[in-house]
Amino acid sequence: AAFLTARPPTLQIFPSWPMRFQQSPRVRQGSLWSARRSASSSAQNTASHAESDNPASRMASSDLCPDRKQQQEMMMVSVHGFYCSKFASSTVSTVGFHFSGLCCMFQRKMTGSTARKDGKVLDPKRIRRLAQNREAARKSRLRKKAYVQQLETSRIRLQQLEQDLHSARLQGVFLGVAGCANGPTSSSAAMFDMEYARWLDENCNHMSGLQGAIQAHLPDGDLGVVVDQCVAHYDELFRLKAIVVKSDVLHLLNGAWRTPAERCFLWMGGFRPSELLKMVVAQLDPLTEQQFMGICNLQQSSQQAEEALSQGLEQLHQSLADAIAGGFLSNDAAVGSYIVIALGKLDNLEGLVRQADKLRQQTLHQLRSLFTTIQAAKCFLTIGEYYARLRTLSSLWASRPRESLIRNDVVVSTSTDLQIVHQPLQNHFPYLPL
Amino acid sequence: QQYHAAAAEAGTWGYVTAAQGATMEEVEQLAAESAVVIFSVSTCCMCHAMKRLFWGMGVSAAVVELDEDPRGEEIDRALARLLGGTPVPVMFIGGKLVGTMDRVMAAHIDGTLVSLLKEAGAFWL
Repeated sequence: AAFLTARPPTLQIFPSWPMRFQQSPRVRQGSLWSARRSASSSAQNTASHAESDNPASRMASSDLCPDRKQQQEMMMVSVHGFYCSKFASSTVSTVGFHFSGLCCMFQRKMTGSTARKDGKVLDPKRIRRLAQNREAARKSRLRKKAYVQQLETSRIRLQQLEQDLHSARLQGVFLGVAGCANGPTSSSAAMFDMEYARWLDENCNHMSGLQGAIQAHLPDGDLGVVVDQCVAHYDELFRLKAIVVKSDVLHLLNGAWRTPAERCFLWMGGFRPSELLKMVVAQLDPLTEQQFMGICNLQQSSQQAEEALSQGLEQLHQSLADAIAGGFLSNDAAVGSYIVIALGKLDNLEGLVRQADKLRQQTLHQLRSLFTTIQAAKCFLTIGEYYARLRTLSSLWASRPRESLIRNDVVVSTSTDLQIVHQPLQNHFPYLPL
Repeated sequence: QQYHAAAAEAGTWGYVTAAQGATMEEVEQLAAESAVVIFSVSTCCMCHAMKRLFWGMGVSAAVVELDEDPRGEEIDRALARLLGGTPVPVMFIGGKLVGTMDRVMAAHIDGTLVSLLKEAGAFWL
């Protein structure tokens, strides 16, 4: 290309160059003027003084190639490369044409007054101006190079930060504000929320697997395998809950990890087994006498166990309230003690919620053993569908149209963002199917 | 000896420390006094839950509150030796050890608790 060998352009024709760079040559020229006045008349001295004046160029020149022409060509090549990547080849040639055209104009301008090459009869003002232009151009190139290098370093740093954040999250160091009304989430709660979201996804797969297996009329053996996998998947959830119950039982109890509609039915950090049993019995109609009795007994036992645990929780509430209110008006020495007692009570919460989870897990296992394979398959499919519907209800609830403005008989409704539906999870997993 | 047999039956632990001594006998004595005996602590919420469970089933259980009983501390130590940690509430049916809340809940869900209670004549009706 012709422009590679032409004189370095002094005009700003790089559209990607930020605005401030376009202004700087003028500023540079201003400083050059003042520098020139204090310096000797030679163009070289002017250049060197201006260079020393400007700390930016001093910095930039330190990593400059000593050979100025080489540097200029380097810039030219990089610019060319930049344009090649951005524009079609036809455009590049057009730009190149303009480049070389401008340079030709420049050259013509230069030769317009006096021949530059013979070095004798030259307009001194002209020389100075040319030198200043050259200097300005050089400085601009240096500044651009410095800016690009800065961008590169920032980009690498950003990559590094993202990596660190990712690995920190995995290690549970992440203390994110999950955006829910319950305040900042602990790291173990955040971890659990992420694991639960993944569990939900996998549960969807298990449900569609069950549905497929039922519709395909698989033999009992094969169907049983699919059902047992579902049950094992629930066991996995209880394993996850067992971890978080030790580190953050309050997170389980407040149900932040469930959708709003599910939270209506929350009992001690999860589903209420007797409720689930009632629903299942109603859906699975043709039951033998024995099965029906078995389910009824299971339901009754669950209810009694639930009642006992609820009573235990009530007693805990009472003693916790007593502990917190204790020593209100007493001496200062006792002030801190309520914290110790209250924290101890909160620890007891862990035991109760653990028992509730065990009850839930055992109920599901009992269901598996009480039913035939095909009944168990339908039973677990029903359970899965039930909670999927609850979650759908939650998202519909969150996005329901609300009347905010009434203009000219037209009701303008605003709907809340779907992301409010399940805040902790939505922030992490926007793809979560609702 | 009945004690160790009951422990093996309950199956809540693998290795039973030889809980010899006067305190163990005391526990066995107390356990044999009623069809259903619960060793409890009055302020413990889990103990409260267990008591309510049997009350809800219509079973009258004899409760030994370790924080109110003069022998409470010794009994607590004996139970800890047997079951490990802070075991209360601990339940005995018909003089035989059933175990802690874990065991009791599991037995209730799988139906074995009711048969144990029936055997021991714990139901009034």
